[in-house]
Amino acid sequence: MRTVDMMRSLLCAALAAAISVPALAQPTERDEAALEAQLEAAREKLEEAAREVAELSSQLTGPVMGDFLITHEGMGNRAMLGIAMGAADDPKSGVHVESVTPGGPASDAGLKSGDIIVSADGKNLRNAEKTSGAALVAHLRTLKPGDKVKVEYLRDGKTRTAEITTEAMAAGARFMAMPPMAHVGPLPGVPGVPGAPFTMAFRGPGSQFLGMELVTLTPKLGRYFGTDKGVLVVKAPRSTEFKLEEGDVIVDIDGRAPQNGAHAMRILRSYQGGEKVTLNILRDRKPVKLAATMPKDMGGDGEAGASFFFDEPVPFTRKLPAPDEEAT
Amino acid sequence: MHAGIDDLLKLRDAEHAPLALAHVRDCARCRAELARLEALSADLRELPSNSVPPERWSAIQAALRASAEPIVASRRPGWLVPVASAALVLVAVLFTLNSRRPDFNPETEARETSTTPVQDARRALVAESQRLESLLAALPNQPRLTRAQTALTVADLEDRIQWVDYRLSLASEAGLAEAPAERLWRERVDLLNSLVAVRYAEARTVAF
Repeated sequence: MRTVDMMRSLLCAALAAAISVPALAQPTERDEAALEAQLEAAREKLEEAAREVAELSSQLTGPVMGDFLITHEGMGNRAMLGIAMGAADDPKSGVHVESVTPGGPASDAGLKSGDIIVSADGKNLRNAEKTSGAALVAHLRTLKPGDKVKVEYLRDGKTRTAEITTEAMAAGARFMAMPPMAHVGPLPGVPGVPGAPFTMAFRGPGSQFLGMELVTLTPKLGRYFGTDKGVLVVKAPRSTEFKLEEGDVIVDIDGRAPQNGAHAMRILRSYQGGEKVTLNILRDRKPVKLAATMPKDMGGDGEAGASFFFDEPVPFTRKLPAPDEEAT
Repeated sequence: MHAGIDDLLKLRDAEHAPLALAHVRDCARCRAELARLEALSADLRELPSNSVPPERWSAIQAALRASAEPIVASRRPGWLVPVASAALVLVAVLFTLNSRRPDFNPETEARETSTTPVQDARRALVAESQRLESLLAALPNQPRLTRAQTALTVADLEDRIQWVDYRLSLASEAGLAEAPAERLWRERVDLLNSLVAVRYAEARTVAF
């Protein structure tokens, strides 16, 4: 059995374990703590298996893009919808959405795979000069991340509309190009770069936040804690590096207000390893600033983040994609 | 001490687990649990493949939204209300993971309808990817209670999918050969499978 298949089986088993723990028996007060510990261990095993499947799968796919090595210059400044366009028999029949990135802008706006985008901000994408995809990409190039795009799309023969708030490509995605090994040897298939060595390290799980649990404040909860926004720390991290305590409300992170717990972790994840971060919190209804240095295993572009680093300057001789072939 | 789920799943899948096997022979409770797992697996294999009516997903989504009440005071607020809707999704999730069984091969499964193996394998993977997206859409969007570790894992998986989608768009526009594109879709399905598992476990933990 291939390693990745074994990991898939492990993932299945881990999921069964993670969801079966609380369902096996009605817990009594006496064994509640033991069940909690068992559940926590099962969750960690599941997530470890999920990350392992992702890593192994990426290792299998990485080399196929050798000739398509992409220069990342400027990628973070592009307005993205979070879709992949599929090929269509008629390339001018609209943008055929073949996949929608989970958690991405298009997904948040309600678009689904199979939809056909026929206009963007009033621009007709059908009967475009080149292709519908190229026309959409050209329009997106006039926007910056955060700008809104009003699209018309077809689903089940009916025309619908959605307003999509574009985003930049996530820092993690921008640098998630290669296998999670410290050294993977020569980079295959890069024209003009024979045997260029590079270093790659996979983003760590953020051990400094292990054990932390957050709850989004509701208006009623907010009144109790003296604020109408922020996320409540209901379980402090095991590590004391961030000095967070149960009952703290994270109001903002260097001015960026988290909308929910996942958003708070996304904000924290965007920092580079070694970078300073300031959490503005409420503790006992009083504002407190918590300054800390982002752990090395959290950073997107830092020493141990999901970046890859060439050991020496690499003279790229081929840049893809061409300007009108950029992704959406 | 009874056999763990890992050992029972090994026995169910006829893998080597001599200690667990010896225990199960002498333990009625573990024997019964193993029989239940075998029956569940058999039932799942008997399910018709893939296409779930769109209205079914809508019903699941509506049921889950209805059950996603705010969770604040207790981490185990109740056992009854979300059970039915969660169970529906559980069947779908386990069936999804089951579809990644070792003998699952989109090439052979798709070949029945076409004569171009690589293209058909890609088509089967795209269909699987879209089915998994539907499954994700049926889960609650954002649980009120967030485990930092889970949020980071989800973010990591979503970023990886975003990166795959970016390359898929390049592949589509720049004419990447079918075989590499098929491998990208295979990676996407793997990532989505992992994401569904993590998100489902997260939703269920919060729901219960």
